[in-house]
Amino acid sequence: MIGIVCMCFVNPRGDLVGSPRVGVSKVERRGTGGYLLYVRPSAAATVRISALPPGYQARWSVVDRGMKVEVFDQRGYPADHGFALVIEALEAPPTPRRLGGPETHSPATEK
Amino acid sequence: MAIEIGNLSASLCSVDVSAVPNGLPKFVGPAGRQFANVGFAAFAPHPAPSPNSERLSAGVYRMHLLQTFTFLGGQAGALVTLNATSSQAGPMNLFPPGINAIGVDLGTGTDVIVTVGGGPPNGESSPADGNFTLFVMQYPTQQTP
Repeated sequence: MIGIVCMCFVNPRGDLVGSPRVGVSKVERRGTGGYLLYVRPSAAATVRISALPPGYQARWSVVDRGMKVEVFDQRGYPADHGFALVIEALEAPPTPRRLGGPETHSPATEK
Repeated sequence: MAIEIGNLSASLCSVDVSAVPNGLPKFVGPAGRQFANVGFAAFAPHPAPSPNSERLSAGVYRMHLLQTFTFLGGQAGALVTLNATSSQAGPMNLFPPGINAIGVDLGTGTDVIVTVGGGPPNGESSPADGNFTLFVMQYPTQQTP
């Protein structure tokens, strides 16, 4: 089951815009084309950055306080541009239980 | 009574999402005719480049406008409605699912982010896919008092 960990829209000035905004509280500029988002994707998460012009590329990395996104133009130079960010992660499915069935016991807690 | 408004720029589309998540949303009009799109970019798979529209996740869509609109200061507005079947519309009378559209400028033209809520009829509170109609207007500037 896929869950949305984070979804947001960042404009070229580094502001969170539009809706919805999920899982991120703040964005800071980090030089030309650099944005620091206060969200930390887990190792298993899927990070998708879209809404960039053709030929533009975005790279992301985990830094101390969150996640840094860097945007590069067609020539590979840092460029200020807005983007849409979606981070998805696999969620563990709920433990299957039958109504009225016996409770599941963990060997570690049984006496 | 009607008011005639000159110099009003508008974009309009109707979106069918019956093919998702495996397929793409599509613009569709009455009787399956695919004409109900004026001014929006074609859909592409997520993550899509800025000149395209895309489905970002269940119930969340980025609709790219071919013409730049200025949403700042209320100079443009977006109206969106859910397209429900008769059987769906019954329970929605009591608990209408939330749906909203907000214009954003990500640096290359403008986009409208449409969010279709789940709501009590299907037991969900997070966004869920649904067909919708979107109308975006750039209001004219009045030149004479």
